[in-house]
Amino acid sequence: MAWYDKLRNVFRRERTARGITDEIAFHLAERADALRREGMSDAEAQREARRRFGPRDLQRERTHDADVFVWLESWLGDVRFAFRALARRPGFVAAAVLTLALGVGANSAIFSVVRRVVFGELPYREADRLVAVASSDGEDPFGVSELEQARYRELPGVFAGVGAWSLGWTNLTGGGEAERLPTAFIDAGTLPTLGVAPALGRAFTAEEDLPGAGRVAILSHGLWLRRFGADSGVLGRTVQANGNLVQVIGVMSEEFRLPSDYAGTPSALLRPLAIGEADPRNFHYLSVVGRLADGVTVVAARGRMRVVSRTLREEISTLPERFEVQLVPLREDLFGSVSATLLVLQGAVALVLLIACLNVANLLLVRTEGRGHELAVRQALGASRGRLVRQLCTEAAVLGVGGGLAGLALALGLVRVVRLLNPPGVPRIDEVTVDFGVAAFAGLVALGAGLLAGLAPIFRLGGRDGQSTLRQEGRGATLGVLRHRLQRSLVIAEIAIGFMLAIGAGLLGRSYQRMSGVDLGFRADRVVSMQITLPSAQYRDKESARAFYRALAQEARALPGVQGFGGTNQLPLASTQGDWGIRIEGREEERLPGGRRPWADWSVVTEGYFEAIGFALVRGRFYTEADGEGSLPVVVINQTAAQRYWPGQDALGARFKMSADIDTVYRTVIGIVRDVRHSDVASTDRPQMYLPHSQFPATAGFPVGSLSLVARAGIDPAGVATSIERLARAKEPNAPVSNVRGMNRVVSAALSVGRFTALLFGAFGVLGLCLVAVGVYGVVAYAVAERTRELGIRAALGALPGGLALLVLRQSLAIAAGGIALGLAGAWIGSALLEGMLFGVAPRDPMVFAAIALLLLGVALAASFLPARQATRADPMTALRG
Amino acid sequence: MTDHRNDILQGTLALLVLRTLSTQPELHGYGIAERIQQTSADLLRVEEGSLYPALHRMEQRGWLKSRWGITDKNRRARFYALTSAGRRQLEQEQASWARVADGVRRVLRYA
Repeated sequence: MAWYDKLRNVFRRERTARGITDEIAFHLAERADALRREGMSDAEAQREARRRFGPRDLQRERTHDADVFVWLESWLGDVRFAFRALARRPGFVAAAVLTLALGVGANSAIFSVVRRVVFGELPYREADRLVAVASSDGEDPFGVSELEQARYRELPGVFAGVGAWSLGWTNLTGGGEAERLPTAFIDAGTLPTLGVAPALGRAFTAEEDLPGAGRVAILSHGLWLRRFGADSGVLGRTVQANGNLVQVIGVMSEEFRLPSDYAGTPSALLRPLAIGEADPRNFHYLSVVGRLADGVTVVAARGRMRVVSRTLREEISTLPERFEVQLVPLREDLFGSVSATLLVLQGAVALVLLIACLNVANLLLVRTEGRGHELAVRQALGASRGRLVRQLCTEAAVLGVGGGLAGLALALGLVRVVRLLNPPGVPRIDEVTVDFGVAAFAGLVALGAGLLAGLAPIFRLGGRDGQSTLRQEGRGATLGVLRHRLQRSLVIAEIAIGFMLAIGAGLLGRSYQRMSGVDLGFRADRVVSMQITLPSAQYRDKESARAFYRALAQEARALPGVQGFGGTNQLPLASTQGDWGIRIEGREEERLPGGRRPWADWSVVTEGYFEAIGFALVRGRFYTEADGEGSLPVVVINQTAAQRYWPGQDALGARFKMSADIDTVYRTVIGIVRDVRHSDVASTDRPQMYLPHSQFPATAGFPVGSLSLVARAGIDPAGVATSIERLARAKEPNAPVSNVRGMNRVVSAALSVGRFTALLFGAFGVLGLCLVAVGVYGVVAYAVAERTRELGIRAALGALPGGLALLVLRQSLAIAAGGIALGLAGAWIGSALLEGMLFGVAPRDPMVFAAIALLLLGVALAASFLPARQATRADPMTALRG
Repeated sequence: MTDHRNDILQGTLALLVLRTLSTQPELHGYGIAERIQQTSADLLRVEEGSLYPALHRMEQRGWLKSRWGITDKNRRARFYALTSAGRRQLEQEQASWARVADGVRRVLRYA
């Protein structure tokens, strides 16, 4: 009989039992027959046969045990018993299962996101061999230059492949409306290095990746569906990209993502990068990914890179002294920081589950009290303590499983909501599902929570012995001392955890409050913006583009309701800026401590821009129409730049030029503006320069014809936006106008990550506090119900109802104080975890701590209100009657 | 009447059952008990009830296989037969029994 027979027989009790009964019956019948042949009477023969056989039931049982997995049978029996026991108390079961479901559901939902973002596979071949290559000068990392990536490619024995690309835009015309598409200009090595190939067609060849050639393009899956109707005959078709005819040679698969797709707008189109000879001006604009050669570790590769960095520093004078090549495993580069936040959130929701667990533990404790008699009888009948513990464990496990199933259902709904919300700053949301892994997690967590909660009644069971319980069961007021202590401890722990959760929510909330109230340096109200890109084929030289904008600005300002109008290449908070080194007149070779040249974040603005978007002028003036091609080269800088590079002096009138050879003239500072937060709400203390659109030449990263237009409206921003858009389209129908939105929305989007995190943490905090309130209410109400007699006696002895209520509230206060004290200690230590996520708030902000302490006190008192009122109704007559 | 002096040690029950079944194609439980009694000239009497747990255990371990059948008296009974693994086990048990018997004999003679 193999083990599967033993397993099967567990579920075939009757059949197995019948077989054994038959077998034994046959034996007895045969024996009786033989004895009858020897002369015994019928009755005597049967009696003797039975006697010789021995204890029949015992042998039957032992035989049965040989046929089954005894432990499994026993355990199934426990489960059946647990179900029957629980079925008698549906209210209790509902409360316990619901509480657990809330905790398990929230945890599973967050876990499904964590699983996908932090641990999920990347759509590349052997993705753990891929590294992101970047440049660093000790501060924020920046891109790689053409020269550098060529050098990395040539290194023997480090990379098995290198891919480089840059992001830009393409005006797609032909076959539909003019569309401005986010484009990735990839080199021939990018797709092979990532280990992917187009689903249809082919990738770029090395020949197509040369300047002048490369009139080819690969579509993203989304673009193919949307604009080309998923036509499988799209290969070979030509379209117009930025005025040039290109041929479609491939379509990427649906799962494909370029690494940069995870960080921002996914690229809809792939075009060849087409670098020929490396540009000697060494702009750092490329994203680079490398596949490590076989057997090469990240550490070893980094060592090689250090050598290369040194060589490059010596060769290229424009590189900062602290220039280093940075290698980061691709997954870490893409998801490292968001992973940290997600793990903090997972920790927070785990705390919620812990509170739920404690609530269920209390519920179980209370219920075990009611079963004291039953358990004592079982003990008296011979059940070992281990057996009873097993029984209680099984019940707790059944509750856990119930909570797990309900929680999984809840998680399904929550995940759907999360996907709909599409929270900002979280990549791969579209890939998040509740899959088998999440279900397994839910099951494990639920079971663990149930068993953890089940420890409480088992703990209580410890002090018992059957006899004394049988005798004392009833109204023993003395009996409850230990139990009260355990219940109190559980509630104090609950309050402590709730406190810590609330602290987190409070800190993040205050942080968001600070962030949204910060002075951005410009005024966003009633300002609208839109993006316009002139087709470069028609506007080949910068003069024609400038002329277009001058005309557009003149007409736009004449529109009704328009109070100001201008344009910039980088809208604040909508994009990050690049920086550029500068050479100050009189000290051109000056270096800052750390080896870097003086530098500033740069953007290009038209006249009228500063006024329209509300920059504050500190000294000098803004641009006017007089600043043009033939007049004095000018520039406007911000306060940080003025103070940093001309400390103690007046920067007005000072001259500097850009350190690369794009802009070869010395510009005079004619205006100083107040600092503006450009890259994100938290960025401060960055020197900025605002170059005049009418004078600045075209360069990489700044096609003159592409601007974000900005207009301030008098009363009707939406109307102003529409009329300007119409005007622009009328003046140049081939120029797509996109991204029409109010600046308020831009600001809000910049704050969205902080807002979302604060909201989510806040939701957890509220959930946790609700559970705490329920827990406190439960314990206090039970205590009051238990002490009815005592309270009645007090009332009989003359206590006022108010005094009775106070008695109850005093006890609640003591519990709350204990919990808050414990929670304070925990939060004091633990809040440091949130440091990276906070803005303008210290992790141990005393105001937040004080406010949360009061909040929890309030919650505990509010939860005790009803039981306290119940106490005032204590009737001395009921008490005295016993 | 069970003679306590003739109670068989539990360990040897398996040996006796295996041996009994090695000489017969198949037997039911009662038949095995009877046969042991007969061939031992009534010196050994199995406590009949303890036979069945032993039989089921031995089947469990793959030494026996069983089937339900009809006796010549038209009664339903479970018949047991030896497997090849059972035969190997029989050899092993016979060998160790011989060793034990030898040792006891020596002690009785020389101690």
